[in-house]
Amino acid sequence: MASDHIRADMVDASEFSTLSQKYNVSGVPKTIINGSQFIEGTQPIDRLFLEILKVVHPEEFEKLKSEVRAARGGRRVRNPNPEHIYEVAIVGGGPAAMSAGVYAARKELDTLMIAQEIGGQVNYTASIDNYLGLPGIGGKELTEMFREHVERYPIAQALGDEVVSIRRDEEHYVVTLKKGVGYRAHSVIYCSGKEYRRLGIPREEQFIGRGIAFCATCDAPLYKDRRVAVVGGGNSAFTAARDLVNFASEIYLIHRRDEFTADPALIRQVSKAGNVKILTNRVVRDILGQEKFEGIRIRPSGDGPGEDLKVDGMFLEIGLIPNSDPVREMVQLNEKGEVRINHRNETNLPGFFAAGDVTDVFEKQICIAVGDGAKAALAAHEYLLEHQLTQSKVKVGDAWE
Amino acid sequence: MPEVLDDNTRTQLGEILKELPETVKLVFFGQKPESPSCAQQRTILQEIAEVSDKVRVERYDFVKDRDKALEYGIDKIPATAVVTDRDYGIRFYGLTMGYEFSSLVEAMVLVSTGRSGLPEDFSALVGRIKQPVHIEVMTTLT
Repeated sequence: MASDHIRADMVDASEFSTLSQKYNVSGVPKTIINGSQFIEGTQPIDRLFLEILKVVHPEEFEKLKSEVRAARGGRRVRNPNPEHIYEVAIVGGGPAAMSAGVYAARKELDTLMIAQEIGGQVNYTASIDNYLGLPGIGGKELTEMFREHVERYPIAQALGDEVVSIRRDEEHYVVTLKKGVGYRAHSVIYCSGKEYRRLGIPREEQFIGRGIAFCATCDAPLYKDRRVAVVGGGNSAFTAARDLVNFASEIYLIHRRDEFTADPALIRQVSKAGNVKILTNRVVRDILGQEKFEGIRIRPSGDGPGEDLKVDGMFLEIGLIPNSDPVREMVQLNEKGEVRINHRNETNLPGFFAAGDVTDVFEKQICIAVGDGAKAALAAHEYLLEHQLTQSKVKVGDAWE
Repeated sequence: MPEVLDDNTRTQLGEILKELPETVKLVFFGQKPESPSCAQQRTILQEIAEVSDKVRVERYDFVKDRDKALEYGIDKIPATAVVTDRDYGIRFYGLTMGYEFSSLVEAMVLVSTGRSGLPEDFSALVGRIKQPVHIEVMTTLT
């Protein structure tokens, strides 16, 4: 009643058993918002309202949360200033960057964080079971906890734009964003992470989010009773297929080889599902449909006639590539395109540090990114002290304070 | 159909409903031939209307009155829309007995007064919602 946009149904779960099954009702009351978000039990009205806002206006929800934290004194983030020269610029918004932010801020470094979005890959992970002390935590939830922590410190943040280049001037580093703004800093901690690999076929970009997807955990419900293709042969492809089994009517798992790298247990589980069809030695060549995604054209990996597959969507699960393009000309990369670092998270350039999935660190894990982000910030602090580039009075040795 | 509301409930209900500032319309959707739950829900609504002249019941057939069902956004029966001249989007699906009887009466008071009962400072927050929201609360009668 408080809003013309909200309508509310009270539904007797026992009278409408099909609907109850659809919503997995095992206890009442259970509240469903727009058919997707579920709240168990009785909740205070403000909680319900926040859940509604989260579903229909995620940006507004984030804004509101920031406002609330600022009002409580728990958020001290500042606006970025292109005229200012920062002591350290942290590029990225994932776990490595946020950990670096906390450590840099606690060393009282004049810090700027530049990121297109906060969270990165973690946001697309439904549930995380290997982050110490927080078994089973949701990806978005963990991001939120990280974010609230780093934003307690008076760092500057430039969010929502993409970094296109980083170069070294005579005196400092210049980080240039897509919209043309440039920020300057005496040192950089580069934590830009990885992103999903694309197929490299025509019109692929055009259909991303409109038929082409990467996150089955997030998008599987959209493909209820529809036909989908999953491309790939590793754990992420089979996990995506498994997530889709309960929703899609038919799933085509397409792999360019005839052997899979996924765990045998996962392969067995997916192969047993009645609605999964595995097509090996096939590659995707083209997208069918003009305005609307209508399917794909596949063809044998060697050579042979093409075949059209009518599907409503395609999940690309063919690995990740490091976001190292903006620094490609400047720092040393390995053969995978990852930034080479040493055990102090230094690159070959003085004052340029890197951490997390974009680096050649052994294994890509949230906890490793968090650890390396901290190391990079401490190393950057030491570098700035040695070169007398910081006003920070904090000495290097007191990391235990 | 035997009477659903006992005398005690009728008396209490009468006390509450006589204070209603605006007439409340209970728009009922069922279907012929009538299922037991449709018949029972229709009876409950009629008995409520008997208690107070501030309450009117409108009856529609889910199939024959397709246009009305669409107008009220009804997709299953038995369904009850609680409205005044204005429709706030409040619907009850299934029987409004047990706890749900209290919820129904509460909804009638709310739509009649036109006040959501939410604290004043809440309205600014609710104003942030600018897209259609559909809330479904799954309940049982006990």
